[in-house]
Amino acid sequence: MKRPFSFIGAAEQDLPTHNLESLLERYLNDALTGLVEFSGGGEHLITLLIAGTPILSCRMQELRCERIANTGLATGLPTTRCRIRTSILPTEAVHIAKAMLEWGPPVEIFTAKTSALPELIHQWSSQSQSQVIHILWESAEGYLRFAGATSPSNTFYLTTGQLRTEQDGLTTILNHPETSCVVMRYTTVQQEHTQEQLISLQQAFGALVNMLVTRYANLVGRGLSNTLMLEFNAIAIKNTWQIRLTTAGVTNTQQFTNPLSAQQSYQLLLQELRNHMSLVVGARLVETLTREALIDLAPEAQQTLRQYPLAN
Amino acid sequence: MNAHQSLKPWTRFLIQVGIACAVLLAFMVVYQSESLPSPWQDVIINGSYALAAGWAAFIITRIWQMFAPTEQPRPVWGAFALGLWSWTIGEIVWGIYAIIYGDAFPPLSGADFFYIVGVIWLALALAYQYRQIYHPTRRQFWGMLSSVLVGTLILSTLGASFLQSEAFLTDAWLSSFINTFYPLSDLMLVLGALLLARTFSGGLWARPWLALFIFAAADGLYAWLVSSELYSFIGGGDYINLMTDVLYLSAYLVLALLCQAHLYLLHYGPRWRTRHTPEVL
Repeated sequence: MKRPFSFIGAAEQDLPTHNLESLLERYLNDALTGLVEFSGGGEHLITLLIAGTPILSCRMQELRCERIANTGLATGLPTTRCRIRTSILPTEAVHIAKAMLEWGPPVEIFTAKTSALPELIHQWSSQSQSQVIHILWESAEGYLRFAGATSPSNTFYLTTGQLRTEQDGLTTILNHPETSCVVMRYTTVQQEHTQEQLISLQQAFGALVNMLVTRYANLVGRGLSNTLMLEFNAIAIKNTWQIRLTTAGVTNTQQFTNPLSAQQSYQLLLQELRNHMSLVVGARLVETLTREALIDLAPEAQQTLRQYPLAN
Repeated sequence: MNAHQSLKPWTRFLIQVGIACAVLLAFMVVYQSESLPSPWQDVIINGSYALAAGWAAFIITRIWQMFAPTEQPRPVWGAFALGLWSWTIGEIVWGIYAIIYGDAFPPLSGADFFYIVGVIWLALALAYQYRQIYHPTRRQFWGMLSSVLVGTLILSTLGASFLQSEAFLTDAWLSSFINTFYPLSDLMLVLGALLLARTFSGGLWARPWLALFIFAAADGLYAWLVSSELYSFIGGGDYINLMTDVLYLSAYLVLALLCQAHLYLLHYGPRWRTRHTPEVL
């Protein structure tokens, strides 16, 4: 699938990573507005510049954006050289690019007939949440931005060497000659929903670990449960996760970008925890303890863990 | 830190295994050669049991000390330690009786009181451990424990009455009761310990229960050999006697060593065998 804004002309170059800082300084001096992508060592970083200042930086995984600090981009790449792609964005596209990075991944991706777009636009216009629609054809792309239940507040149509905006852009989108297109819908609902899910998962994980560790400590005493906590924390530190286990319970200030990455991290921590406990009290009893803890969890936490299972 | 403590836990454990093997070998030589003058032969043989039981009781007491008064495992190890200390006293009393009475060892002795008390404490240790795992209510817990103990007592009474009526044994009724009670209580401990070892299977926490299982099985075998009169209190040269007594002493030593491993687990964590630094966690 083509990347967003692929029809905007872009400059590509190979550079040693130690030159990245000076490149960004040059962009700052030039007051460049656009997207700068850095690829190398299996990583794909992207930063949105407005008047040369980085506004938003992400580590991209497909269409998912994991927010990273705007500083230290050069040190975020595990390689000495990288490929840089710089796309200069029109002012109209900045909000859309920012929303797509912030709200990604899309809540839905589907193929539609170009002739069905008016009806779809009508449906999107009736929805209360903010949305960005990315329409992709073989030879062009279109963007619609909805700020609540209104007609599109930003529209533009891009094809090689051509940019049409606002009403002209909308008309061109609706009259594009290709019969089918891929539609990607980004919305704040997903972001809010994701945040809710992250919080629920964080709480469910904390409750499960606390129950498990309490039961384990009841069996083996404080000394061995302290050893367990040390091991848990060592794994969290090794993975640079801001999650700690103390006698007071789980402290979790780690910001995950989506529930799936949170689930994977929690699964790893829980697996390590259970492996360590198995060494002492045996796998059979650890299974029993886990089962008991899962049963004793609050219904909301049980619901979350049915959606995102942490223990096999 | 003294020289002993500066050794790696695993090295210290191996030294203790070596000492236990040496004690067992010396016991076999003394037992079989019968070279020591009376009463030293009996003192050495019976003293070995008392020392081995005392060693195990001392280690289990140290395990008990590892837990704070509010911690749930503490009663388990407290009862376990009291059981072993009772048996240690029982072994000492037995040794004293052996010196005093020699070949005319009475069918019932003061040692039996301590052995029975020991069994009750060990049963209590098992019950406490079960309570931690399965969380029965207070009523369920005491109901089950008293059922097992009363059941053992009733079965022992029935067994003793049967033996008396069929004139299998000509001893006093109480003596028949004791002879039935020991194998039954050992069976109870064997089953309880085996179930716990199975519950903790694959985990290091199974070791002490495995040790109790081995110990109770060895004691049960000893009780059976004594009651079936295959074991003779007179003369030490018999191979059945030697095997029985070596097995009995080994059971104490294995119990002590496995509990020592458990103590290291509590001190140094589950990877104590590969641990290089001897600091206590």
